[in-house]
Formats: sequence, structure tokens, C-alpha cells
Amino acid sequence: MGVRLRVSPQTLNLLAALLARPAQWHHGYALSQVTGIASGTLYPILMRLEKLRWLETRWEQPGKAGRPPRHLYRLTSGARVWAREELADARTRKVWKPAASEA
Amino acid sequence: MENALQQKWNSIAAFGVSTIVRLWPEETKDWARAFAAELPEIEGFSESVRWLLGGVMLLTRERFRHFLKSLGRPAGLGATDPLGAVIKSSRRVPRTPRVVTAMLLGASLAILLHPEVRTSVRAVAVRESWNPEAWSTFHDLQRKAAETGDARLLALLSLLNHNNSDRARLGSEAIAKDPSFIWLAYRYFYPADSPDERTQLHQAASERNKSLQEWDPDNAVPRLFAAELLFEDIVAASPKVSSFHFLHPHELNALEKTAAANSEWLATMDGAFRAPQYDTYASRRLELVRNIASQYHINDPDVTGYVVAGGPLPQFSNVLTYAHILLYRNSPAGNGASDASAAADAWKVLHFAQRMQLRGRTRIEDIIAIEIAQQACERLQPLLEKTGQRDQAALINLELERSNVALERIKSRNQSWSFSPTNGNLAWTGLTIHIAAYAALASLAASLAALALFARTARSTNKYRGFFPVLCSLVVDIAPPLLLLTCVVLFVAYHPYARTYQSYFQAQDPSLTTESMEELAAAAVAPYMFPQILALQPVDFAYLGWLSLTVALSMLAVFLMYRMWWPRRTM
Repeated sequence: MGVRLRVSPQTLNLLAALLARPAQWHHGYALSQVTGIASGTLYPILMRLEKLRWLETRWEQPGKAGRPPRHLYRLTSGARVWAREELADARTRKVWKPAASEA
Repeated sequence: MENALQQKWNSIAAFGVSTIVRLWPEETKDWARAFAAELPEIEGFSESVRWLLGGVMLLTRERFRHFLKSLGRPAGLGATDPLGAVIKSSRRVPRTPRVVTAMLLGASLAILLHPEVRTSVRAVAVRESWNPEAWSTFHDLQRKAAETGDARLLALLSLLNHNNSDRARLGSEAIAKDPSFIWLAYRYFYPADSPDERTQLHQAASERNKSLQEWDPDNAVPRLFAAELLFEDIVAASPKVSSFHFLHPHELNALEKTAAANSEWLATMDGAFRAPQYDTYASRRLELVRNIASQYHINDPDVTGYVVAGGPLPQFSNVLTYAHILLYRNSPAGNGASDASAAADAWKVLHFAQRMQLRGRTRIEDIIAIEIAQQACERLQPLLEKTGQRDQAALINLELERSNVALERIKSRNQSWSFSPTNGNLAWTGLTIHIAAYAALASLAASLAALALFARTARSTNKYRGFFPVLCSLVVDIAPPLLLLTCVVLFVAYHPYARTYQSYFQAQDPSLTTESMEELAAAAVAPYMFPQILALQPVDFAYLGWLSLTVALSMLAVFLMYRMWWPRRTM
């Protein structure tokens, strides 16, 4: 796609979490909980993916009154192919190991 | 209780995230909102603290990225202003990236803070008078002297002081602490304001001179200063004469006749002309400045220039009068004494002139000494011929030729472009330093003012409408490069003089000839030369006109090149 993303173990974890239910929209806090990535690391990765147009985003209307709208994320269809390749490659090179639940 | 604490924390956390959102850069603020929207969903104190700390990290990272990005944008253009659109919709916007402006200003400030450049700027822009008592260095010396009581500091303050009584008091204090400073207080400098003050000054100066003559008995200079005090009275009592010089070379004028009748003055001058040394203590003055520079790190070229170039010299009318009396009192027009006596007098004058030329440290001493020597040779040569001393006469003839050549050299040097004090290299340097210093200060002020204006204005394209913002946008683009250029010019113009000046402080035993003293004084006073030109001669309008035209055309050329080149780079 022209721009390479530095694929760190945290990025791979995030891609794995997003690929687990690729069609579903994910909340930031939920992704943080699933991957164990702290917010200070998670959001820069999301921002980079979004900038590369590999991440779809939308605002969710709040369910409870007085709550702000939440941001939702999921991989674009093109990015899903790329993400699977990256995860497979990382697994082959043994630079990344999926969490037990995903393996 | 727990609920109350939870509520308290929730309000603190809400305040925290709202602050993060508020401080977040505008162009990515949605991400701050996205981050903040998760906080109400987080349960548990430690989890929300972690989330909040992550937010602080994110904010720091975003602010830093925003700062780096902003460096690439021109001053005044916000992150949300698309540069191209703004340029199209405005009469003029700044086009120099902030990072370039910052680098230009940083480099200029680094040069401006260089000691040599600071000295030249201070000389031009801050120093208001050639009065050391108004200088900050003078007050630094005063403070140091009060702290340490160092005799050398008192001695230097004495040399810098314009007030006769303060000068004498400081000199006396220095001498009391260190008697070797007796050379300081041998003469009062400035004319007395009243006859009473004059009498007091004469009395004090006579006493100090006696001590100095006892301390330095072989030196002609203290005796000359003692004779000057008597000569002042002689001049006051004599009829007015048009000149002390040799306008009537073969006879004494009225003043000389009056002086020739004053036995006390004659005896004092006789002692001066017979003294085996001639020393105006220039080397001691420079050594004093060098000592203070090395011990207290107070080294101000203005102080050095003032002390070295402004040292007291013998009053030459006094010297010339006595020399003329000696040469012509035994002439046919004089009292008709023997040729042998006339020759002895002429020899005395010649020897004094030679000592003065050998040990004098200023050009004026050189010239006076050569003139006296010429007169002595012209008087002596026929006397020696007459008494059959042909070899001696030939030597004197040679000495006369040597004196003529020396005088010619001085004259041609003074007339040459390089050495002329009013239009030579030094004056050009002074002029360059003046123009560059004023341009640097103006560019710095203009740059900072324009940047401050852009920093204050709201980020909207409307701000570029109207004359003033257009002017500021021009200033932001042009003033920083001009500032750097003028700083470089300041450094390059003054650097050779500053190096010359420093060499006198780094050398173990600096050479002290007339030329080297002139060089040191010139190096010290280089930044002042332009006002001296204006003070000494009428303003050369043709020259200033040519200069202004050159500067204006250069600026126009820079502007046109900028218009042709810069937009292509940025669009």
C-alpha cells in the first residue's frame, strides 16, 4: 500500500484482536482489555492504522443519557488480508505468538 | 462512604480527561474525544487511573508531534489552515517555515552573544558618551575596588576618572597601598574651573611631581610636567602670540623672551632635556590593564583604548618653546654668545629629540621629536662646519636626511587610504559595524514583534487581510535572514580588530612601539570611528548617498530574488 507500518508485537496483538471478529465494531477500552495494551500505546497504533486507511471508524450514539458518543473500530476488508499475512508471517518467524485463546 | 469516594474520583477523572481534550491539538482532537469517551465505561479505581495516565502520555506525544509538524509551517499559519488555500485567499502570508525562522533567529542570537559582537553592538548602541564614568565597566571596577581594595583597581579608576579631585584621591589611595603606582598621580588632566581650583591643582601637582622625580630621577617626562606648571604662568603673563612653532626660526618671539627670563622654568627644562630617559608610562598603563584583565576578567576594549590612547603627554608648546630658545638664544639675533655654547645647546636639543623619538609611544611625539631634531641639525651643521668638525657635520647632515625621510613617511602614511583616521580601513570598519549593528537590532526587534503578533492572532484566514498583517508577514520572511546576515557582517567586520586587541592580552610581553600602540588603540576604538568622522568633518553627502543607494538596490535585488524563488519552493 505504499506506506509500511512498523509491526510491533503490540500491533500484532491488536490486529489479532480485530481479526477475531472482523465484521464487528470494537470499543477502544474493550481492545485494551483483550490485548492487554495500555491506552498510551493502543491509541497511537489505532491512529496510525486509521491514517493508513486500514481501520474503519465510526461514532456510536450513547446508550445511556449523559454519556459521550463512543468511537468504534474495525479493519477494512483490504486490511484484513494484509493483517492475516502479517500475523502468519510473524508466526512463521516466531517473532509473535498468539494468545492461548486465539491459537 | 465508598460511593462518596468513587464520586469524588469520577469528578477528578472527568476533569482530567476534559483537560486532556482541551489541550489536545486541534487537528486530531477527535481521537482525544474517542479516548475520553471510554473513561465512563471503565470500572474500578486502578483501571481508570491507568487509563488516565495513558491519556497523559498520549497528550504529551500528540503535543510533541504537533510541535514538530508546526516547525514545517510558516509563522502564523495554524495546523488547520491549508497553506495553499490561505495563500490564494490572502494578499500575503508568511512563507518561511517556522523551523527555518527558528534556526535563523537561533544562529543570529548565537552570533550576537559572541563577546566580540556584543562589544561592537554595545559600543554602537549602548555607549552614549566617551566618558568612562558612564560605562558599566567603570562601575564594575568600582565595585571590585570596594570589595578588594586592590591598588591596581584604584589606579585604573584614577586613570578613568574625569574629576580632578577624584582622580587625585584615587591615585593617592593606590599609591598609599602600592608606592610603585607613583607614576599615576603626576599630572592633573582637566582644566580647572576657577582660579582657586587652578592654584590648588598646581600646588598638589607640584608636590606629586617632586615625589615622582625622586622616584624616577632619570626620566624627562616628570620634569616636563613640572615645567608645564611654570609655563602656564609664563603664557598667562606674556603678550599673545600667534603660534609657538618655528614661524620665526631665527629669533625669539615675545613669549620665548619672557620664558627665557624665567630661571626656574629654564632650570626645570634643562633638567628635562638632560635626563637620560623619556617615558610617558604608556607601557605601565597597558600592563595595569592587562593585569586587571587577567585577575578580574574585566577586559573592556573601550577602557583599554581610553587608558592607552588617552594617557597624558608632555605639553608640546612647552617643549618647542624651550627647544627654540636653546637653538636661537645664541644666534646672531640672540645674545651673541660663542659658537661652542650654541653647538652645546643644539646637541642638547638633538639628544632630547632622539630620546623622545626612541621612547615616545604616539605619532604626535614622533612628529614633534623629528621637527625638533631637524631644527637642531639645521642649527648644528653650519656650526660644526665653521669649527672644522667635518665628520661630525656629515653625520648631522645624515641625521637631518634621516629625519626628513621619517617625516615624509609619517606624512605619506597619514595621507594613504589605509591609515587615514577619517576615511581609512578603520573608518570603513566603524561604518560597517554601525550599519550592521543598527540593522541587526532593527531586524531583531522587527522579527520578534511580527512573531509576537502572529502568536497572538486567532488562527483564521481573515487575519491576513489589511496592511498591517501583510507588512508583518513580509517582516517574518525577510527580517530573520537579514538579521543573520547583519550578525555575520558584524562578526566579520570586527573580528580582525578583536583578534589584534586580544593578542595584546595573550602575549607574554607585547611589543610597545608607536605603531603597536596605534594598532592597539585602533583595535579598541574601531566601532566608534563612524561618529568620529561625522564629528570631525562635514557629512559627505555624496558618499552617504552612494551608500544608501547601494543598500536600497541590494535590498530590492534580494526581494525580487525572493519573490521569484521562494513561492516555487513552498507551493
